[in-house]
Amino acid sequence: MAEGRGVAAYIARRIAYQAIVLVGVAFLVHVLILLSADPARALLPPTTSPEAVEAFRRAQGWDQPLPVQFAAFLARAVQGDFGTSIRFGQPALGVVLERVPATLGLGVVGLAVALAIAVPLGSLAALRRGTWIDGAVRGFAVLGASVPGFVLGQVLILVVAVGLRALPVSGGGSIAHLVLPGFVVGVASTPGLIRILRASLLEVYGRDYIRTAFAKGLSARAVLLRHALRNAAIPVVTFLAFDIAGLLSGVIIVERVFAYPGMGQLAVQAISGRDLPVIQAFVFVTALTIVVTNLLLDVVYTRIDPRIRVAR
Amino acid sequence: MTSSIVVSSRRSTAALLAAVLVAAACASATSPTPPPVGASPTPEPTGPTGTLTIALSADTESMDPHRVYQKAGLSIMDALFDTLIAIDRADRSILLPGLAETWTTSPEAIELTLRGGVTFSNGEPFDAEAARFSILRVMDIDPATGQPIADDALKLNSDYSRSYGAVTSVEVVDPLTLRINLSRWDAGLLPALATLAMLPPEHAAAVGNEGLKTQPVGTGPYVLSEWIPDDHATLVASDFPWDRERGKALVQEVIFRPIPDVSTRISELTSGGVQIAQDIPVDQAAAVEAGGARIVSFDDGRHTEIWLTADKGGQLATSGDATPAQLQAIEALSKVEVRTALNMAVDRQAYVDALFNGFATPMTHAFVPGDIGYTPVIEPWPFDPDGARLLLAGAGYPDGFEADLDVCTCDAATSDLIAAVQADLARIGVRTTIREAEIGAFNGAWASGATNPMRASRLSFLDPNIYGLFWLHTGGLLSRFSDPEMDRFVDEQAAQMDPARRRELLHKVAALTHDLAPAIFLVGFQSVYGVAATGVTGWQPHILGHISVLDTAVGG
Repeated sequence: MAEGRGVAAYIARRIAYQAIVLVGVAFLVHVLILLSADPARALLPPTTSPEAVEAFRRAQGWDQPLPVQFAAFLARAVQGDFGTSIRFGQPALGVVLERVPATLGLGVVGLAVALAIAVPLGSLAALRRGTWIDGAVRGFAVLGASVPGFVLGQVLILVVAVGLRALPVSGGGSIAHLVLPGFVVGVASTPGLIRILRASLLEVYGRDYIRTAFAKGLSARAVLLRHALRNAAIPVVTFLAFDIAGLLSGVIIVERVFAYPGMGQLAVQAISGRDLPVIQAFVFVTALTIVVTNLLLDVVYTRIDPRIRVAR
Repeated sequence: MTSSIVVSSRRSTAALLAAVLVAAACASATSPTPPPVGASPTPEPTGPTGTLTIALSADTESMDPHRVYQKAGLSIMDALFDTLIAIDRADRSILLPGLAETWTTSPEAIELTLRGGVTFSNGEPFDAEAARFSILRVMDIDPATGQPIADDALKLNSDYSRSYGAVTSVEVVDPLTLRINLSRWDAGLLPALATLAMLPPEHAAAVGNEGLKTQPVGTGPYVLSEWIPDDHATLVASDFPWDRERGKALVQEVIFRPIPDVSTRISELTSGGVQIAQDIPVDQAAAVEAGGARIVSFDDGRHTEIWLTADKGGQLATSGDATPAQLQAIEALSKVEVRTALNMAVDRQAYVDALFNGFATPMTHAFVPGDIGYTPVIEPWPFDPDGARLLLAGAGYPDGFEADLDVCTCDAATSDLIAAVQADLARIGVRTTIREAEIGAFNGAWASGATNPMRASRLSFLDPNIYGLFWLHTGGLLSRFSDPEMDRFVDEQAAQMDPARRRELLHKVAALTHDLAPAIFLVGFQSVYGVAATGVTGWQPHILGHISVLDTAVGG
C-alpha cells in the first residue's frame, strides 16, 4: 500500500518534470524563431512598405513583449491551439497530426528492420566473441554508423529502384513506398543496437543462471532464445527509447531523399516557409513523443525491475 | 519583329486576332525558348488522354493563386486557373487573349471585353464581377465598398498587389465588360494581368482567405482532384473546356510531384516515374542525358548583378557610423570610371563556362535575353584587368579600395559566383568583404540607408515596370543610383502606350545601364529541365519559368 503510493508519487513527479521540459522546449523554440529573423519581414514580399509590415506584425501579435507573446501562446497551446498554419490556413496541430501516421509507419518499418538485422548479428557476435565473425559484425556496425542516410538512400534508389525497377523511387501512399526509406531509417539504428546487444549478452552469459541452463542440458539455441535474449533485452529497450530522438531526426533526412510526405518534410517546408505555428506544433509533437516515451520507460522500469528505487 | 499586342480602341477583334497570329508566327522564328520537344501532337478528337507526371523541385506554397510566387507552385496554378490576358509561352512580349477576348487601352483606363459562357469548376459563371473581385482581392480592397480593407488580419498582403499602383478603381460596365480606371498609364499592367488568376467570388466568400489555401476553384484547363501536400497534386482535365489561345489540354490527368532532392528527381526521370523534371542543376545535365533523357534549357530572365552605391552616399547611405573605409568605397563608387573598371575586371565568360557549364549568359546591361528591354547590340565589357587597373588609377585609386559586399543567405546557390567575382575584383585591388545576412536583414539594411557599398542582387521580372527598374530610379525602392537621363527614360517608357516606342526607350535605358554601370552586371541564368526521351510530345518550357502542360501530349 505504502509502496503503491510511493510509485504513484514518483510517476506524478516524473510527469511534472516532463511537463516542465515541454514548456522549456516550447519557450526555446519560440525565442529561437524570433531571434533567427524578423518573421514579419521574412513572410511578406521584400517590397512591402514598412507600414504594411508593422500592421502585419500587429495583426500577428508580434509587436507584444516576448513574455506576453509566450504567455498567450502557452495559454492557447495547453488547449491544443497552436494557431493557424500560414501555408494551409488550417489548425497547425491538425496539420502536424495528419502526418503522424506516415512517419510512424516509416518508424515502425525502420524499427523492424533494425531489430531484424541487429538481433541475429548482435547475438552471433556475442556467441562467437573474439572470432572473425565477431570482428566482421563489429566492422559492419562501424560501416553502418559511418554511411549517412542520404548516401545509402541514393545508392538504394539507383540499385533497387532505377536498376532493378523492383520498388518505387520515391513518394508515399503504399507499402512498397515504405520499404526503401524504412530500410534506411532502420540501418541508421542498427550499429548502436548491435553493440548494445552484444555487450549485454556477454554480460548475461557470465551469469549463474545461464551456467545453470547450460548445466541442465539446454541447447545453445534454447539458452539464447529462452534466457539470455530476454535478460539482455532491458538495456536494448532503453537504448531504443532513447534512440527515438535520433530516429526522428534521421527520418527528416530520409523523407526528403525519398520525397516521402511525412512530418519531416512538413517541418522542412514549414521552416523554409516560416510557417511558425506549424514549426511550433511540430516541435511540440516531437518533444511530446520523446517525453512520453521516457515517461513510459520510467514507469516500465519500476514494474520490471524492482531494484530501480523509487528515490526521493 | 514581334511586339506587345496592345489593342487600340480603333482595332476590331478580327484585326486583333490577325495581329496575334502574325505575332505568333514571328515568335516562332525568334522565340527565346526552345521549340517543343518531339513531334507536334495531333489533338485527339476524343478529348484529352493519358497521364503526365511532372517532378517539381518543391511543393506549391498554397493553392491560393494570389499567394503563389515560386515556379513550382506556379506550374500547378497555370493548369488550374486562367487569366484575363495570357502570355505567349515562348515570348513574354506577346500578349494573347485569355478570359478577355479583346481590350482597349488609354491613359485613363483599360477596358476589357470578356469571354461569355465560361464557368468556374464549381459552376459559378465567370463574368466582370468575378474579374473585378479578383483584381481588388490582390489590392486588398473590399469589393463591397471599393475602399481599402481596414482590418489587418483580413488583408492578403499579396506580392501581386505592387503591379496595380496605377489602378484607381475597377468598374463592372456590364456582365462582360470590365473597366480598370487608371491614374496614369503603366505599361506593366497588361503583363501583370497576365499573371493574375481569376477566382470565383461566391466560393471565395464561402471558404474565405484561409479556405482558398487548400480549395482552389478556377476556370482553368484542369481541376484539382487530389492534393496530398509534399507528395502529389493530381489534376484532371476540366469538364468546361474552352478554346484557349495559350494552348489546349491534351492530357487527361496531370500529376505534379514535389521531389526536393535533385538526385531523386533525376532517378525518377531516368526510371520512367516522371516524364518532366524541373530544376536540373547544371552539373547534373550530363548525368540526365547519360540516363537516356533529354535536357531542355532556356534563358529564363533570372540574373545576378552587384548593385553599387552610386549616389555619392547621397540620400541613402547616410548612417552615421560609417567607417572611413566604407566612406572611401562609396566615394569611389560614385565615379563612373570606377564602376566601369569593376565591370571590366570580372570574367563573365569564365563564370558561364566553369560555374554554369554553359547554362548561363554573360550580361552586357540590365536586361537579359527574353526581357522586353534586352538588346543584343550592346557590346560586352572587355575582360581586361589591366585596363581596369588603369581606369582605377586614373580615378585616383591606384591601390584600389576596400568594400563590404552584402550577400543574402537566400542566394546560397550563387555563392560560387560571388566568390569568383570577389577573386577577380581583388586582382585589380578592390578588396571586398562578404557580409552575409538573412533576407529580412539583407533587405532592411539596404533600404534603411546603412552604409553598404555593394549588394549582390538576384532579380527576374515579368515586365521592366514590375520589380525591374525601381533600383535605377532616383528615390526608387532600394535605389542607390541617380541620373536625370535615366530617370527620364525610365519614366517615359513606363508611360508609353506604343509598344514599339516603349521598346526603343527601354533600349535607351539598357544602353545607359551599360554606360553608367550602376551595377556589376554578371550573368543571366537558364532554367534546365529533364524530359523523358520518348512518350512526351509538344512540351515547351514557359518563358515565365514555370511548367505549362498545355499542348503537351503523352504516349506515342
